[in-house]
Amino acid sequence: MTELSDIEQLLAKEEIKLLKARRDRAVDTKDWDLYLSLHAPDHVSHNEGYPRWENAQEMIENVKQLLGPGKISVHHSHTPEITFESPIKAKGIWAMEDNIFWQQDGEEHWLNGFGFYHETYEKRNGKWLFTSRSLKRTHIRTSAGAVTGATKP
Amino acid sequence: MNELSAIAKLSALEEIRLLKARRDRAADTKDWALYESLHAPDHRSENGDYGTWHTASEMIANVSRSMANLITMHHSHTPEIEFESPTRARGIWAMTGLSLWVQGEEQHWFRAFGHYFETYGYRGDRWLFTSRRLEYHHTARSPGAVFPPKLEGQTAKSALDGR
Repeated sequence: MTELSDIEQLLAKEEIKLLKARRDRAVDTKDWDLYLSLHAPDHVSHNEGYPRWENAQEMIENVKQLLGPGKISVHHSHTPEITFESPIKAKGIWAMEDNIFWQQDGEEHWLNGFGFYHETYEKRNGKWLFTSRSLKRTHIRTSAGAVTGATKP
Repeated sequence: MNELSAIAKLSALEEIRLLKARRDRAADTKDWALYESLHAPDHRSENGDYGTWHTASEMIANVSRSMANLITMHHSHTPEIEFESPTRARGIWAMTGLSLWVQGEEQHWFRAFGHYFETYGYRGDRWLFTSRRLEYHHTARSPGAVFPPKLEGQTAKSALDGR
């Protein structure tokens, strides 16, 4: 394996951080075309409390449904730990906080969660893409009586 | 247009992130001299329903008055910065904003989540803000809160925030 030069590694990190920023914005603005375009077709997702999604298509169908028009979501990601396994393969861990808001029986409910995203990325045809994402939660709190759809870990 | 070299692009990204960090700190510490110095004279701020400020001096006059009685927190995350030319760039930042103030004798708060859409220009020898627009995705406030708080001799229209 040839190593990335320092400059190449810095540029690749910027591209991966941009990928991540776009993913967080795409999910919160419900821009599902953008969201899908950031993931490899064989992307695998695993969020605690939900089944594994084995490809990007399965992921997008589930995410669209979980965060449909009635849900407002805010995903904020922080302090990335990005490391390279090869010039075209990388791993990342990001601290995260999410806030979800929705109406339930005429009342506003909310979820506020914390955790870490464990992700992998690959450069395919000149473009970095997500190839896997696993969300490991440290804490979730919700409004009293909130029904979130996730099974308890 | 010449393209930025790899190292020039990395340096410009760092400078723009530094500019943004200073702006958020200047807003929250009410350092209006620093705040204004980060913006081009022709900087344009778009504040949703609250109108557009066409110059940096119009912006600073409004922001400094509207935030005088607020404790604010502006946190910005995960920038998407792209270059249109070596001297022009665009950025999108996820944000959380929190304002705290006393209304009557009660503590009140206003919290917002959204995205900043910004442009930057390299003027002279440094990057400056040339425009900023804030789109909210969710806002919440304490029961009974009037936000933005009304100030003496100021309309609600001009009172909004440190966007």
